[in-house]
Amino acid sequence: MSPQTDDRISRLIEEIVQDARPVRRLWPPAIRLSAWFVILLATTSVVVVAGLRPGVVQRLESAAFLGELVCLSAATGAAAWIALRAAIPGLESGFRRSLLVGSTVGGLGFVLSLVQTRFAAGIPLTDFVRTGIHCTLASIVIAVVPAWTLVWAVGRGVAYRPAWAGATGGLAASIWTYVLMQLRCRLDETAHVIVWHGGPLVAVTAASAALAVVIARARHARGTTL
Amino acid sequence: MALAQAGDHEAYRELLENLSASLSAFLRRRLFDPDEVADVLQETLMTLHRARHTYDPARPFEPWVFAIARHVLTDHVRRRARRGRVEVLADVELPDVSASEPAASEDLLLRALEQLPHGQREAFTMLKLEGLSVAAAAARAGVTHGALKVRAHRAYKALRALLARQ
Repeated sequence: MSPQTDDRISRLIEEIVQDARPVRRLWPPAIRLSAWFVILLATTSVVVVAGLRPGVVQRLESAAFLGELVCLSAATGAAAWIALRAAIPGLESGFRRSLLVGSTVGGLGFVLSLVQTRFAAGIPLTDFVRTGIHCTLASIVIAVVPAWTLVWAVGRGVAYRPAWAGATGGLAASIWTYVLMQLRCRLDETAHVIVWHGGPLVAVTAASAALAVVIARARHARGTTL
Repeated sequence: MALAQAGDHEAYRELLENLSASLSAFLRRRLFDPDEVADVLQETLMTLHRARHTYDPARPFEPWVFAIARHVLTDHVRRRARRGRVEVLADVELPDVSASEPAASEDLLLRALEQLPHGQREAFTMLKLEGLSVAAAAARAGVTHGALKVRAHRAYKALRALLARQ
């Protein structure tokens, strides 16, 4: 490099050094994931206390339902793990492979959940919407805290693709919300589950992606003191 | 880096000076233009500074540093590709006053240039008359790439209007 460039780099290093205040180190992803699981557990407890559908215990004896629970729980954990690692440089490797494994397991969980539903023709549209809106609102309320905390945790790092990291975090929260809605909602109708339980999953994922981008931009703007 | 995270300025300076040599070598293997190498190196050092809280001393340091450098480099290459397209479009849009009467049109252009605000005139002169890259021109003007492109775009528009009037 030319002497002028060397000089420019030296000046930049000096500015960076002068700007360097002590920083609080980010917790490792495993610890942050454990902390998030505590939040998930608290959310689950609130949902359980608020009331589950009748016959949940009998439902837990069904192999398909247990399979669904296991697959969706694994997908929740995988998505949260991917999101948290995506926010730390050098830990994003294996992102696509993990995403593939997570989506396969999650997809299997959704298929198992739909296998347990039945399609009911002839439901009046007003009834379909009235019962559905209730489930959608409940889903969003349940998902808000886990999704927000995970996206915030992702935003504490420096995700190279904040939208993807945020979306994966939102997906983790909304998959678990889907599970909780399966324990809460009395309707096992296919269209209801797909539209009103699956819809919020997509909405929360998209909103989390947007939120992660906003957080990343705000943090970047605050960090550009140089 | 652990010392730098704790606010040790001397350790941080030494680390950055050592790193800038190895990062520069890393970037020179991937970029040919020395100005680009310098730009990406600066951006990498700033990103590293903003991301320093994400480094975990329990993990190896190099993968963390070079992941940041790779991300900055990838962003730079993408921006350059996009900028290339924008610059080609801007070139097409510019009035070709020099084709017919070179001396007269040069005079017209210089007079029109004098009417532009300083920032726009500077951007146009560096990009179109001196032939600098956007990165080099932005560094010389002390503004971001985006700000320089906005100034240049405004200069093109103003020049087009002024030349059309004359």
